[in-house]
Amino acid sequence: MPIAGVLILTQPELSDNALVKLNKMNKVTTYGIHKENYIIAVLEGNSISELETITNSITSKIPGVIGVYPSYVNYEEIETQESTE
Amino acid sequence: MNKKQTRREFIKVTAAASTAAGIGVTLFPGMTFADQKSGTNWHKSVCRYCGVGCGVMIGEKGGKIVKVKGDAQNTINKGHLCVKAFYLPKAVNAKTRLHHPMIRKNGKLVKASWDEAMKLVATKFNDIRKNHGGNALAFYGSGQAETEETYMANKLFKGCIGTNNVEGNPRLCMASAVGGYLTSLGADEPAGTYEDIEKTELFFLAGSNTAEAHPIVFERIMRHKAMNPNVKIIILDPRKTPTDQVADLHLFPKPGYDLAVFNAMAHILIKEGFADDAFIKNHLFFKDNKKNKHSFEEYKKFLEDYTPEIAEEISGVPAKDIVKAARMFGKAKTAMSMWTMGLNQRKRGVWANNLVHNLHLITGKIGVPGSDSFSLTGQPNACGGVREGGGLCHLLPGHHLVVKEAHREKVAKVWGVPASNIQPKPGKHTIAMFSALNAGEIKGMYIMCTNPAQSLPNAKKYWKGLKEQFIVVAESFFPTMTTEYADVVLPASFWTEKEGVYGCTERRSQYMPQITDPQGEAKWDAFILRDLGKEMGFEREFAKYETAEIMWDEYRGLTKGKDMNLMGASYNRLKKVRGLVWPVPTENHPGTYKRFTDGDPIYDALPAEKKKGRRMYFYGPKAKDGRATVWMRPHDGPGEPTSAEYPFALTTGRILEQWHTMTMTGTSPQLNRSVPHAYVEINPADARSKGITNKDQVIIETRRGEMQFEARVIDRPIPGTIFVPWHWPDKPINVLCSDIFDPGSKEPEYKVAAARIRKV
Repeated sequence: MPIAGVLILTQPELSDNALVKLNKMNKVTTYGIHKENYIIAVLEGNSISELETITNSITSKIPGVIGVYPSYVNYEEIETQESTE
Repeated sequence: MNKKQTRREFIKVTAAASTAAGIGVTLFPGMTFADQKSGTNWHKSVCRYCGVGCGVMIGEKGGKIVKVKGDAQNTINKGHLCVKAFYLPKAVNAKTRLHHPMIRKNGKLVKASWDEAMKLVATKFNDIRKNHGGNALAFYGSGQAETEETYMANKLFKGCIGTNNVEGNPRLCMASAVGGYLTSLGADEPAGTYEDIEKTELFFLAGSNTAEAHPIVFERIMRHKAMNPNVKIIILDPRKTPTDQVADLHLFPKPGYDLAVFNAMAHILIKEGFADDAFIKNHLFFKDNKKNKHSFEEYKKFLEDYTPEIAEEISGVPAKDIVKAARMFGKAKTAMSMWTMGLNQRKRGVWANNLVHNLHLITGKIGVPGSDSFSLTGQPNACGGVREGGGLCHLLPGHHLVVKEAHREKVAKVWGVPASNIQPKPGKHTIAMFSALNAGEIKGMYIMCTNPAQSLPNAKKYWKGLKEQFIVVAESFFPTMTTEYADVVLPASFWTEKEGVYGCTERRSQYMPQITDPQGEAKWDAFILRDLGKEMGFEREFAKYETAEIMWDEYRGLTKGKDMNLMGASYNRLKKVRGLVWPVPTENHPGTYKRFTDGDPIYDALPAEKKKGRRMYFYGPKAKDGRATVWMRPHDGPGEPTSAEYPFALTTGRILEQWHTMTMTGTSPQLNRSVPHAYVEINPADARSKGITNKDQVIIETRRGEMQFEARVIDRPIPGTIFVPWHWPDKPINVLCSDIFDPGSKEPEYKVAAARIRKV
């Protein structure tokens, strides 16, 4: 199950509203607004395709979102790894 | 909290913290993250996709790539990536990776040994060469290949086999930009770099859907605009794209009719006093299409034919918007133009490039921080490997030309081959090459890291030659549309399985390490070519290339003293830094932010008398007296204008989620993708007139055939224009595109084809 840390670039005047809407989305965890108009969030998907789908939902459905930029993507088979640790 | 949750939470916190670090934010001070004790080995590398050149850190664990993060130290992307990053490791481990050589037997590709495959290719190529001459063979490469790979191909084909039939897919995307830079500034590639983005007041994005095609560049533009509300953005594009969400002004020309707009902007800039007279006097020539010199006054007279009103008649762009755009450009202290295929893939692509350069030259908005005419590149190494590496039919490595005897002798000496091996005439350009393949004039072709059966314009026309002649395809993925026609398919190592150098849009060369072993029996393309050379009888010529570094060092030696001097970019240095921007003549030179001006080592070394009264000196091989050229390019429309029979202009392009022919991004299960299949965008007004509603099945027809798509009725293309993304192999829209090409750059006009559309 891949996990991605992303920067969500927003129009500054719409950042607060975008954060509220992001907080209502499944599989999205936010970590606040930083540097005026970047929202830090973590996306969790059952597959890479689902990460892409979540990203597209954010871009297309939340007003004020200019772009979603991954900064960190973990592809480890987390469950498998857990059983061996 | 159980162990599973703890582990997952740790990874989430790590992801958040790492992301925050990319913008200089500390989310969890003093906390130690799972990542730091997880046994992951991190490697600095470069993204495999577009030409932006983003730095990536690749996390490897147990020989497998398990994590990717943006490289926060990379000056290009500063830790940020686009959504295609999700697919980087997926592509490496895709089920479509080719693990062994294949040979066609009884009409079917079957598994073969390397020995059998290489002997077959060498024997066949030698037979063709012996019976029909070297020019019956050809190489077709890629802007995705590493510089070292293209270098080996150049030596084998131009230096040993003795044919200049060496081309690459950048002919299809960047050749007009090359032609524009050479004719306007006298040297290929931009004068500035990405560093100008944060210093400019105005962006002019022409024929570029930057938000989707170059997302990280777009992010930098947006970040800069958000921090500086005075920054303005003008877009020129026949289609509304996601880039529009931030535009201050959008000019919508009819596809292929924008040359008049550029000239009208120049007309207004001069008429309203925005011209830089001192810069014009000391730095510029004015020339017409016959290369006759003219005065500035004559140029002004030429522009009288391009009033905004006349330009409106030609282009459909309202005159008031043209005036507004010109005033915005003129009033801004600094301006940065960016463009891609919308200008390049045109019958008059070079002219379109020239006319954008004109705007900067007549206003002096070049050579100073924040001002540049900056072509964006589509592939990760189109600049480094093909433009600089000489992977086109008229070039030799390091900005050398086959037509120049001294260049042939210099390169031949380094290659250890007789200078007479290198032919003095350019070989066939891409369209001519595939036409010759159709005609049987070329009988054998080696295709590396590209998919021409899908990506060529009017593609179906060229399947004949691919089917009839002897075709070798070296590729990491199987199948592709091109391997359907291959006689031999060779498995190539992919990104992270080989080392080498990529050179991106801003003249920056960056090193990529080998991190994992090649999958299956795959081999590095450069070694495949080297070994093929040996098998063909050039044992001595290829004996020394035991490592990538040996190839790179030989290549960079050829750049010594050239405008693209890479002598300071050794592997040892490139492994430590986040790339170097040429000219970088010595190991202690930091690289060059601005060419042709202070800080450029070539400019700095010029005699004082040459620089007197000039803040720029255009010293490139095509410039005279250190001057750039303002070209008087008249209006010219597309090669295939719309008509009563074909009333729509079909245009094509990229979308964010896919890349090129999907050999990499298509490795994900299709049904789950957010954009699972091809479609056509049609304006609501046009849809109404044709009785088409959203999601209807429609037929698009051009003079080359027809194809069925799902309709997306959307206010993106202007009325009279339809748009289709070109990625999907089951709907290869390039089959319908025109293969008319620019007479200068030989780049085909993908961006405009006359079409009609009907509901099924």
